[in-house]
This record gives sequence, structure tokens and C-alpha cells, in this order.
Amino acid sequence: MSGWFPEDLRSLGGRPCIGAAISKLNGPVDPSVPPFVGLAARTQHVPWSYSGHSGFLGPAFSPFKPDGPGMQNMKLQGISIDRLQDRRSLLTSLDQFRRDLDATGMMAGMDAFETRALEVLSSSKLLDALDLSKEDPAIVERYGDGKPYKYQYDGAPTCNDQLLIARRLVEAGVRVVSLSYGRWDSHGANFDLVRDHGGKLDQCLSALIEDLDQRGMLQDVSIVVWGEFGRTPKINSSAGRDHWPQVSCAFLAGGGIRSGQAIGKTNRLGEYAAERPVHMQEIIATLYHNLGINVATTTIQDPTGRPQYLVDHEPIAELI
Amino acid sequence: MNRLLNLSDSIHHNFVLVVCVICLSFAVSIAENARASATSDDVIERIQFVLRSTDEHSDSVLRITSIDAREQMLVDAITWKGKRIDVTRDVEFEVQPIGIVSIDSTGLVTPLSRGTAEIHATLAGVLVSKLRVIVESDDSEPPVSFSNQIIPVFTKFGCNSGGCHGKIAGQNGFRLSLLGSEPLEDFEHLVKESRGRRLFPAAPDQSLLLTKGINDVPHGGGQRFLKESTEYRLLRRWIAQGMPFGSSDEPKVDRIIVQPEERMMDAQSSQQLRVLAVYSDGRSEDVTQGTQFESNDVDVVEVSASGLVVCKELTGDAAVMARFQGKVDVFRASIPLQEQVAFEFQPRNEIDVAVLDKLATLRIPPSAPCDDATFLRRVTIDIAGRLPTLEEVEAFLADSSLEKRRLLIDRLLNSPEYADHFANKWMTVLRNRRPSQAHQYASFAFHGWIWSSLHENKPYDQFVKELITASGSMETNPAVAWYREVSDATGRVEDVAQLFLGQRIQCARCHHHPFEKWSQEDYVRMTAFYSLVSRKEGRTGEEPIFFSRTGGASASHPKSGVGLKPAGLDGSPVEQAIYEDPRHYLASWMTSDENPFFAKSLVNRYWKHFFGRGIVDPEDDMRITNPPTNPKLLDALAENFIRSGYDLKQLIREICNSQTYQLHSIASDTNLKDRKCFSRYYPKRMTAEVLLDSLDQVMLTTTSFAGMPRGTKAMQLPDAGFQTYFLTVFGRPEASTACECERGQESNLAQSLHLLNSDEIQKKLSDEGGLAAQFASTSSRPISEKVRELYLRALAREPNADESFRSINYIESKSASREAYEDLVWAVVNSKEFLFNH
Repeated sequence: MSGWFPEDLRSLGGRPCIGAAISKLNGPVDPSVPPFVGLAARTQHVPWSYSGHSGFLGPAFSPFKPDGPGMQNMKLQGISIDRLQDRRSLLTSLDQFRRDLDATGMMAGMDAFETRALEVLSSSKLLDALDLSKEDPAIVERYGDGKPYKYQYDGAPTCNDQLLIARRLVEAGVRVVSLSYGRWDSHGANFDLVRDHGGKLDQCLSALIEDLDQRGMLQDVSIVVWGEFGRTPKINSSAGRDHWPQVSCAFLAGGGIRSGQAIGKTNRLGEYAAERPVHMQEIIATLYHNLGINVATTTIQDPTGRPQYLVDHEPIAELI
Repeated sequence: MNRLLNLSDSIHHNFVLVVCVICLSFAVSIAENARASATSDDVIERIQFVLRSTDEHSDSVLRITSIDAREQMLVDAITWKGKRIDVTRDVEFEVQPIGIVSIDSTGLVTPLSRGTAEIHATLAGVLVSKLRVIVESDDSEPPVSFSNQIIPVFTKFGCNSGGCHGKIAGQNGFRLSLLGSEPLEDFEHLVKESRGRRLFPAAPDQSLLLTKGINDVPHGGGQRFLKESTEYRLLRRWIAQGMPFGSSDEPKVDRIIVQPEERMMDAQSSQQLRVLAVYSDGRSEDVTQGTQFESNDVDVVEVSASGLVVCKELTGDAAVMARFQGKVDVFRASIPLQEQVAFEFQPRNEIDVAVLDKLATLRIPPSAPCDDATFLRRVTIDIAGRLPTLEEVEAFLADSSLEKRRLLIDRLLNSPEYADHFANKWMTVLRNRRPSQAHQYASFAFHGWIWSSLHENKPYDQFVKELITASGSMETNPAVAWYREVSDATGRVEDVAQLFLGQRIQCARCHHHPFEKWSQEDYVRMTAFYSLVSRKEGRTGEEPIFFSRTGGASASHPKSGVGLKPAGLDGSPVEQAIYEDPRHYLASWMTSDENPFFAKSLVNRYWKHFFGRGIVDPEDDMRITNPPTNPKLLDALAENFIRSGYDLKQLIREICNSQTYQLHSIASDTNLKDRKCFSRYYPKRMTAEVLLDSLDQVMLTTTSFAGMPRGTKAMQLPDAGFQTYFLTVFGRPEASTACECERGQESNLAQSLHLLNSDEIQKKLSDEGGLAAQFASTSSRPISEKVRELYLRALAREPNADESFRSINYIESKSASREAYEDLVWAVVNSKEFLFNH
């Protein structure tokens, strides 16, 4: 999700994905809400729950995972908020070390984070966003339920709720949400799978777009739905379709783009691109563009101090 | 008859010129009405043209041999104390006779015609210096050299920068090599590509290169130069001449020299620089106008495109990098505090002498020496990566021996915890990862090898030699684990250069290093050392065997395809017999006493470990353009390190026994802002491993790590595969790079939440055998004693009366419950005094 190969800058930790880069460039909207959330729960085949990698930016810019210990720490761990306040006042009365002796400003920064941490524990904006019982039941119903599917044994569930959670997270101030939906590796029984997954995805994705539109958020929120590659044009002997990196497709919506058009074309059998092939990085660049970032001028310093461009391609001209 | 003439306010803000005119002769005296901020040292005696440092003759003659030349004049004022002050923009210039050269108010000379003239510089109408100028070139136009004259124009205006046409993919179809490192390629692109549409010799002004450059035709990069500029005329002339490339044996720039090299300056004063290029034929040329300048600390000094350095309000020092045609040099400015200060600082060793020298120059007073408790905690954390124990604290504070600090340092160095701590440091940058369980044998063995090397104090050069030349299996020679993890020649070269030489040569893999002298050829020759390294199946797929094939070591240049023999950076190519392992040559070159980078890089790395900031910082980026803040200190440390036989423990001994290391972190108003001269100890947050171990140590608990025996400390973890949430969130690196910068030392919300509200910390606080439980269960023991014990354990000092009072009060207000003790322990370990080493 950086637009680059995993090998690129690997000796420095790799390229940061879009969520990590945005966290670095823009920081959090709300101090108690992480700017980048990965909703995918760990799948047996690990790459299918990939939430994006922070690359050379380091773990501080990794996606916040609601199933990890970071989440646990946002709920009170068996002690009351009053006792935490007591501890904090005791700490304040004892902690007399001169903050200005640390010229890096880190001590002062830690104080500020401590205050915010207490805010998080007493407000829990993030927890509310993750809690669908706080959502209008009619809307929950509109997104549909993606009941389990037998092909997903080592892949992600078709969890329609996650799209709704994503919207709630964005409302709470998250800048980038990533999630995995279903298991599309249809080496066998491709058509059963697509019928099942297709219908479910159609319901929750259309619900998300409609929902964002009704809330007046669609111009500000970009949606991209894609996989890592396409499937063979030829059906194999078990009615499956195998890996076909020659051609793939991506679905884009929202974010103020000129939607309602198909860009690029394959030949009749879907074997190769016949017109206007689009590079992965053009899609990433379009997302950056929608977030107000000029990819032609914006750089992030890597650990060697070298400024790195986010991507090498321009946004898709047809869309902007 | 004396007439006092005070002109200071009308001419310059930073020095005082007070001239007494006595019977038509000039002399200088000290006037009482001198400006308050200036001292009597600044009274000017005379002014002088500064000659080009490459000119042999000292007869005050400037010879100009080309009509294209532009010469930057520098005029210095010299005070009676010998201090030099740049007055180039303060003097009045006059040329006699007119018509030979012109000079503007910034001191830039342009030749007009053949002949001899004299330039007079007059300061405040009274002090005069003269310079004879001979223009030797005729008025005809010599052929323009593409490599030596056109390329610098592209570099100066940023056309070939990484943000523009210098990108690998170029910009909008037009591509130049990064910073002009490949003139021939640039020539081809410019002249021949796109059916030659970029240049139009029949009507040079209509060339796209020029119309775009001045933005007459819309240009994505906007206007880069003016039609009236010298650069425009030069480009136009080159096109009109039919775009000659010049001959391939044209002289190249060998080096550049910045004048002056260094200066003591005052806040808000300014200094013009001059840059001279020395060509391979010995000729030198003023290239100030074509040079790019960059300040390494824009809070201290700024520099203009024409090389005018302007100091800001801050005191301290800064370097200005000058870059021309891939060559670099620096100008160093020191801006001392204005007030003279008294120093109470007794140098104990060469470190102290060098640091004191620097502090005296910048007039920064050092802090007072630290007390015993502070020293004990500081040095125990820095050497052994742990807190002193309760027993150690009580014994050390009670000990009245004068030698106790020295003995403590020795004791810590001989303890296994020293090896734990430094093996952890080295293991990380040597990338001891465990991608899967099958790598465990190798990762544990490699850690063991590092640990023993440090514990038995193997000389550092031998350590590096053994690592670089490692051959064999994981069982016979665990150091080969590095070869498995760093699996290609480019990775090996880049890691080794960064780790052991402090050189980041990655840039030179694809193009000339923009801030260093390293070329692609230098890079390729380094990789050739690794060209014979091979691996074969070992006991398991994860434990391969490494060996060196027979054959001639070479690597091919990515552009020319020519095979190059191995050579160290700046070294000569190695003649290796086919049965020899070329890595032995690499190791000998690298670890030789004469290697200019090896010892310096290590002492700087260790200095940073103890002081939180390298003498060169970042510690593994020792390029010419990132100069040391105290070169004398770096040299002294490196020389002593070489003389000791690369004895790492001795280096630590020298650092920790210095008065500099033993200064307090508490600052006065005058040295509070100092961040790089080591006038005090800069507090640093404990690393993830030290912090976790310290929390356990204070709370009498342990942390368990999967697969390790109970009681294993975070500092003892043998590889990077043991990531717990605590360690990750506090920045323990994953050992995926050779850079110390991978360790995250910044603060964030997740850390505060973890300390404030995690199950992990709460469990430690409320542990049945923990400190709070112990305190609560011994109700007969006075609370004050328990508070004292907590302070000794956590902070290695007695609580003061106020702290005692508040703590006891809190415990009593909660009726001495176990929870109250938990809260108190929590508060102390969350204090900044605990979290930081200071």
C-alpha cells in the first residue's frame, strides 16, 4: 500500500504505506485518536491481513490495531479514573525535575502526552467509534451482514460491519483506515465465490458510499477497493481462476474525483491492457492528491537523511 | 592636535572603528565612547585585500585570464588584537583607470578589457588597501566548455537537482544527471534527444533551453535566470558556437577551497565567502558565483546564493557547505557568547582539555561537577544498562575513598552486564534478526560471539576483521550469521561503510554522492571485495555455510560495464592472487591505523552512547559536509584509541573518568542552550530495554520472554525476535538496518498510556512479591524508611524533606494500604528523574 515493491529501500525498513506517510506528514486530527487504523484481524495466511507497513518511518507510524495491546491501554485496566487522577497529582507533586534541562523538548512532550492519555481514558472517542451499538440500527442494517463463507478458511472474513466502523473512525478523526474483505484467491469454484462475495461487497460498499454522501462526507473521503493482482482469463479445470498479474482492476469513489467513468481497457478476453494502462502508483498518487498532498513536491526524509518522494507517478489526470 | 572620529554607527553594526588622526598619520586608540556591546578588542588597525589562497605570489596582484571570469574580492579589517573581520560590503571600491574591470558593492569584479588597473578599497574614508589587477585575456570569445562551464549553471539553478530534471525519471521528458555527475549523458540529452528541439544554434535566443529558463515559454520550474544574467549570455554563446562538448581530456576540478576556512564571528555579523576550484592542470579559478552553499544549522547562520554568510542571534558554531562540480568544502563559523566568563573546570585528561578549549572559545561556562549519587546512577546505566542496586547505592554513598569513582567504572566494565549492554547495542546494528524459529541457533550463536568479544575485551580492530572475513558455518564461526542476514554485496558494503567508517555511501550506488566525494566507481570498487563470497547448503537451509571462491575479485561499473578491481575508499586498487580472499584486503585497509575513518567512527559512536550526541551527529554520517563540533576532541579520542590497541574498555574508562562526563546536567542560564559543546551532561530517556529492566528492578518483579529462562532481562535478549508491546512502543529496534537511528527515542501517546494504564505495569505494581506488597506487609517499619528505600532503589539518592513529607502524607491519607504504596511506586517510576538518565 505504498505503491512500491517490498524490496524497495528494504535495507532502511522499506517504503512507508500511505497511512504511515499521512500520519507523518499531517499528524493526528485529534490527539486521542490515532491517525491510521488497520482493522484487519490477523488471518492464517498473514499477508491477507496486511494493514500497511510503516517502512523506514518506524513502528511509531504503524497502523493502530483495535485488537492489540494499544487498544487495551485505552480502556481502564481495573483501576478507576479517580485513582489515576490521584496518582497523577501525587506524581506532579513529587516530580520536580527541571524540564528545561532537556533541550530536545522531550520531557515537556512527555508531560503533554500524559495529559492527553488521561483525556483518552476519560473520553474514549475511539472506543465509541468502534462500538456499533451506538449506531442507528437502520444504518447497520443497510450495510448488511457478511455471514461467513466456506472459502475463507485462511483469508479474511466478509465483515460488512468493518466498512461502517471505518466511516465512524473517519468521523472520529482517523485519516486512513485499511481493512481486508473476504478471500478472493479463487483457484477453484471461482463463480460460487464471486457470487457470494460480490453480493455482500456490493451491499456494504454501496451502503458506505450512500452513507458518506448523505452525511456530506463523500467529497472529503476517498475509497479505494482493490486486490494485489487479477485472475487468469482462462478458467482452470476446477472452475477456478489463477494468478494474473498482467491485468488488474481497482474501484475508486469519493474524494472529489470525477467518478462514473472507466479508465483504461483490456483486450476482449481480459488478457492484457489494450488502452491507458494505469500504474499502481498513479492510484496512490490520486489518493494523496485527494488528501491535499502534492506528490510532485512532497518528500519525507529517510533515515539516511535523503528526501524521498512518496511515489514516482502523478495522480490520474482523468480523475482530478 | 588630536581629533576623535567615531564612525562606528554609520558604517557597521558589529565592530568599532575609532580613528585618531595625529598629524596626518593614522593610528588607532581605544575610545571611551565605544559601543557598549563591542569590546576594545574590536578596534581596527588596518584593512587588507585577501588574496586567493591558491596564488603563490604575494605581490598583491590579481591576474584574470578569461573574459568569463568573475572574481569575488574579500576585504578584511584587522583589529589590533589580530582578529579579522569581513568588511567587503563596508568599503568603498574605486577602479583606476576605468574600463579594465568593473566592481560592484559586494566586491564582485568583472573583466572588461585587456590591461592593468588598480582597485582601491577605502573604509570610512580613512583606511585604504590597494590591489593591482591584470586582465590578460583578449576580447575574443574562447570556446565554452560544456563540462566545466555549462554543467555548473544547471547545478547552480537547481535544474539537475533531485526535485527536478535530476530525478531518475527526469521531469516532463527532460532528464539530466543528478547534480551534473555525468556530463556526457547530459550533453546527449540536451543536444540530441527529442530530435534536437531543445537548442537552436541558428537563432540561439529561440532555443527552448533559454526560453524555458527565463520562463518566456511556460516552464514548470518557473523562471530560473534572467535574460540579462551572465549565465544566460554564457548559455547563449555556447549555443551560438554550435554546442561544443569540448575535448574529453579537458582538465577536471580536482578540489575546491573555501576562503576563509573558519572565522570567529559576532552574532548578526556577516562574512562573504570565496570559492576557488583547482583543476587537474593546476590552474585555479574563482567559482564563487557557480557554487551552491548550504548551512548545517540555520538557527545559527544562514547563507545566500552568492556565498554571504549571515549570523543570527544564537551563539554556537555552524558550518557552511560549498559544493561545485561534485566537490565539497566547508566554512566553519564560531559565534561566541559576548561576555567573558570565569571557568571552574579542572581538566583531567585530553578529553577535558579539548572540551575546555572549545568552551573557552565560545565562552560557554560548564556546569558544576555532579554529586556521587547522580554519578553512580548515570554511569551504571551508561555502562551496565541497569540501575545501581540498593546495596550498591548505600555502599557507594558511604564510601569516602577519593578513588571510588574510578574503581566503580572498572567494576562496571568487568561485570557481565557491561557485555550484556554493549552486545545489545552491537547486536542491533549488526542486524541479529530471527525471521523464523529455524534461525534461532544462528541468532543465539551470533549474539554469543558478540557478547564474548566484548566481555573478554577483544581489540576492536580484531572484532571487525573477524566479522568482515567470516567464513564457515554457524557452528564454527557464528559471525557468518551477518552474511546470511545481509545477503548481497551492496548491502554488505553499505552496512560496513556506515558501521565501521561512518560513511553513508548508499547514494553512490546510483549516482555521485551529492554531499561527499564518493563516485559510483568508488562504490563499485568497494563491492568488488565481496564479489567472491558464496554460500552453500549447511546443516539446515537457515544455517548456510559461507566461503570465498577462488578467482579474481571484480565488480562491473553499472554505466560503463567495465570490471573494476576492489579498492577501499580513497585507496588504490588491490592486486589479489586468485587463491586469496579479497575480504582480507578490505579488513586490513579498513582497520589500519592510517585509515582516516575507522577509529574516529568508533570513538564518535561511543561518545554518542555516553553523551547522547555525537561529536559528529548523526554518529554514522561523518561526511566532510557534516563536520565535527570539536575536531580536536575527536582527534584526541581517535589517537588514544589507536594507541591503546583499539581497547574498547579503555576508551570507556577514558570517557567516564573525564571531568566532562562527570559534569552535572543542571544548567545555568548561560549554558542551558548548549546542545553540542558538552558543557554539561544532557539528560536522555532510558532506552526501552533499560527502562523495562529498571521497572522490574525497582518493583522486584520480572518479565517473561517466550523461550528464555525465567529472570532473563530485556537487556540480555540475544536477538531482535523478542518484541513485546512494551519494548516496541518504547522504541526497541527490529535490527533491520545498520543505523543506530532505528532505535526510536521519541515520546508518544502510546507510551504514556502504557505507563499510566496498562495491565502490564499494573500487574507489576500489584505483584504479590512486589515492592508495594512488601511495604504494605511490614506495617511495623516506619513509612519514612520505606520512602527512603524507594528513592534509593529508583533514583539512587535520599528523598529530600519535601519529598519525604509529601510521600508519607499520601500513604497516611490512604491508611497505609497496599494500594497507596502502589500509587507511590507508580509516581516515582513515572517521574522524569526516573525515566531519564541525567
